[in-house]
Amino acid sequence: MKISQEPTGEGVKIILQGELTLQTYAQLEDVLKQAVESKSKNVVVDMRKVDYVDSSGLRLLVDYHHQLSYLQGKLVLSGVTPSVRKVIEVTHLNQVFTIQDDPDSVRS
Amino acid sequence: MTRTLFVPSHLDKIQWASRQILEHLKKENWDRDTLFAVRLSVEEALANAIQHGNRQDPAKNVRLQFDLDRQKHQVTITVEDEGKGFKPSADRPNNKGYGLTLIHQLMDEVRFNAKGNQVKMTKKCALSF
Repeated sequence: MKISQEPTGEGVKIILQGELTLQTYAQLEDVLKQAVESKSKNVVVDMRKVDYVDSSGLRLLVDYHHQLSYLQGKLVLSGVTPSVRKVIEVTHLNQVFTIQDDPDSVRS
Repeated sequence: MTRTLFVPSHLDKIQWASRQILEHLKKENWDRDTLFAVRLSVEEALANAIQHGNRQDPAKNVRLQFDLDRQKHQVTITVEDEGKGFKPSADRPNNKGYGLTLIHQLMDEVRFNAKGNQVKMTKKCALSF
């Protein structure tokens, strides 16, 4: 999985490309950990180029959603593809995550 | 058509194993959503079998059986580990059992054996031409 980052007003946008799975989630975990440690309040995960997420990827996103909420911050998933949206919906995590359709419309 | 694979208890073998199944199904012109559902369910079941069933013991394998019924347009996949088994309902962690939830939601039929070391999953397909 390729990961790049762009600073935003009060946080960071993390741009993913590839699959978020048991084999790759540790890469994203490192980046999210770094964002929390650097006191980023708003973390946007741009998922326009992610078409496959497994339970390990979901669990990581849920963990950091809770961590950031606890720190009065926010994790936003943006540009979620239809296949990933289905995975989120069948696990009812659409009731947990903040999902933004257009990554460029997310303000931090 | 039936195929059986014995998958070593290494997490890096999961995608290799699921690809073996997907390659067969792609030749059958199955639609993308069905292929996605099968891939994710197989990989979740293998991850459970390797991590929780076999506890990544290199001496143990996971048996992966693939039964394609072309007349019924359905595939049945069996994943069996060499572990002690578990009770699917009782052992499912509260709100963290996303893997099992995905399998139940994405496949048409999911059955565990009495011991709890084998899951049999069936998916009916829609053809894409």
